[in-house]
Amino acid sequence: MLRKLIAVLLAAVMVLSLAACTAPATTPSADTKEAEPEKEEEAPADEAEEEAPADEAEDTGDVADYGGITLTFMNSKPEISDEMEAIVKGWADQHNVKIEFYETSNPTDTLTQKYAAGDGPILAVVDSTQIVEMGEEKMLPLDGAEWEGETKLAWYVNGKLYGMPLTVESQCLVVNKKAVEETLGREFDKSQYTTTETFEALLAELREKGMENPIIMMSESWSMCGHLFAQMMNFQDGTAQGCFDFVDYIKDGGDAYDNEMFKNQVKIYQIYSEYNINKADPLAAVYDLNCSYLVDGEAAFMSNGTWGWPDLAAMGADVNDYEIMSHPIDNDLTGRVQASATKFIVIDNTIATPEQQEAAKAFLNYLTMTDEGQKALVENCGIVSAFSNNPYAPADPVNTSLAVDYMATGKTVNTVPFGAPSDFRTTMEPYIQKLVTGLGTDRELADALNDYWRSHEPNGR
Amino acid sequence: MYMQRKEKMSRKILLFLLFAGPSMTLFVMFVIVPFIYGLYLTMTNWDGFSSTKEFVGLQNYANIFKEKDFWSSIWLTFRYVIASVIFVNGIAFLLAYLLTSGIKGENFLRAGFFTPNLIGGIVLGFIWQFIFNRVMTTLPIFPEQSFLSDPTKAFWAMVIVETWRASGYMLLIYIAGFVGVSPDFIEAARIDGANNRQILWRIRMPLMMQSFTICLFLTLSSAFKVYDMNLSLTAGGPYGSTRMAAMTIFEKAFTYHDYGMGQSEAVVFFLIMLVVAVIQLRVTSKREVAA
Repeated sequence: MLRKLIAVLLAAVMVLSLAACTAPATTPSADTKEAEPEKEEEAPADEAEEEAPADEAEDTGDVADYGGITLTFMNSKPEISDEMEAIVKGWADQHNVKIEFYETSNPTDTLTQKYAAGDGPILAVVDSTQIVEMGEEKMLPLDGAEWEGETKLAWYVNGKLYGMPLTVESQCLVVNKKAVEETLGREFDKSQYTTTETFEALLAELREKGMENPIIMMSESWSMCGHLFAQMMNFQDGTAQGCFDFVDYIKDGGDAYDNEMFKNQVKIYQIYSEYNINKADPLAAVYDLNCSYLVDGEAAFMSNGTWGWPDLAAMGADVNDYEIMSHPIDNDLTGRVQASATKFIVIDNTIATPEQQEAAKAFLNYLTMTDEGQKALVENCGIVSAFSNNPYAPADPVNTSLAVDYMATGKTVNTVPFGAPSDFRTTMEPYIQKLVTGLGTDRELADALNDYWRSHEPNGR
Repeated sequence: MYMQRKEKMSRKILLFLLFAGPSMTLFVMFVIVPFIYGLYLTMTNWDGFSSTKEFVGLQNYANIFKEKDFWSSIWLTFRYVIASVIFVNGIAFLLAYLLTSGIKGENFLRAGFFTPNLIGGIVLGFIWQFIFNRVMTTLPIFPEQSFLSDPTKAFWAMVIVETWRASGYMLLIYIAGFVGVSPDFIEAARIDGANNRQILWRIRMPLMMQSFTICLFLTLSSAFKVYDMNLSLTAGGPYGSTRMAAMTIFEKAFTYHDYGMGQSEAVVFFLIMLVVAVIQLRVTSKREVAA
């Protein structure tokens, strides 16, 4: 009898535990399951009425209280994850908000999975691609935001504002100027080396004078096959229309192989491969090791972007020794770098409650409209702000070089809103890798590019 | 009489629900429902995040035949499965034979061989990526070019890592098989004049066929489903030459925003795996003998 009783009790415990698993039915997101029931209980019915004075309080320096709600935050900019998390959590602590922070290096995949699971992040740092593909359906329109008038780089889809620009970045060559000058034995003036011919001659001279392989071509797909190859379209004439015209040219039966910028791009790959410090095995290059080559002066140019400074600084790079320069371009855009807002913060419009959205908006205002937020973004995260009201200047030499040498002088190219679909890179990757390792030809690369654009539509048209 | 039987029946149902109910509910919720919903998704053109999806019938299945990338990844996966199953089981069996033959430090060696299995696939991939790219390239006995930069060698790199990971686990099952064979049979065989090789082939192996059934099934299914190690070790490269089926399906569903198609490919892949696994189970189960 006792055994029966125990058996029944055990079974009852199991059934109850199952019921417990399904209890928090009001939870809008799996990640917020701990905090949300609290919010449901604590948030008063007239929460919305309380929000208005809360926002006003922000301006007057008082601190708004969001009643312990939870915001999930997806960061797709891993190199500033720690700094960003500190900023978000610092703000959240002041406003009685709980933050669940996670990072991803692949925002498309992560967002797709999260939305498929009904668990999209309330706040997310994303690329423009995700805004184009998911914005209208999943993201909160931010038109009329306090900060809208302070930037020209916000991301709109069909006239509606979805993305708050987080940072301006440039894909370019990062230069260890000291290493170049010590090898050459003279002052280095980057404006003299903006074409494939002059830049190749410079690399040859460096090799002759002892720097065997002066350039570092990153092996990472996002760099070699993403950023570097994208400039083939971005530098057609430096405008979005130029990119669309190129795509239309292919769609109308044109051959990428005959395109001048395509030839320029192939030449860039050939030059970089020849003088690559990872020449023996270009696909096995390791990011950290590449950074150390540049910092140690074993190589002088790194095909990367302004976001790479934190990695160089971590290896002891001296702020006085570095600057950026353009990839070698032979058309009218020679000497320019691609620079645009590369990351945006968006707010969810599918599972976020009005309270969560209000808090998220307040956080964006904090980043853009308060001195503390502006300073934290530029000085802690080391980024170039996309906002005209941000008085802080970047502290590192790479971003300073972007701001002073290129943005201030108008030597930038920005092809917003043109964008390639998210499978562009993975589709082109094998052909670019084969070209770089000598196993493929420019003809094969052109054919793959032709095939791609004849079966795909560009984003942003 | 009728009432009594009815009462007995309802008692049985109640007991069944009490004991099996929770796990049945969980199984239905987390396996059966998603599976059926997954089947439904194969008949839609869902992009993976949109709130709307159109019903397209069997169109996705029809389109699979035109998907060259998918079939080439299936073929690649088959080759990977064959190589992995042979190496994992071959090495695990040999090690188990050695570690049950009375050599010194058996227990320490068993634990040592099992340890790699405790490391997750992603971490394992990164560790071996470092070994292939940074360590082996500096050793004079290996070529200067990393294994991961060459399509053929990258494929074998995956097989090596899988063998390293899985053989320790299979080793334990084979050891259980070896230990489970009664010494009486071995002794009897010896008295009858059988040598070691004959004892292994004629006595031990038939009597431990259950171990083969389990190990072959586990290695087959894990090799078919490989994704994490594939992602962190080669990321499908070089030149997209090591994109296994799971990675191709994942990219189709999540990166290319073609969830309906990706799900259809997953169903076809599942059926292929099912057929192979059933054939394997039938073949090996038939060879099992009772002592």
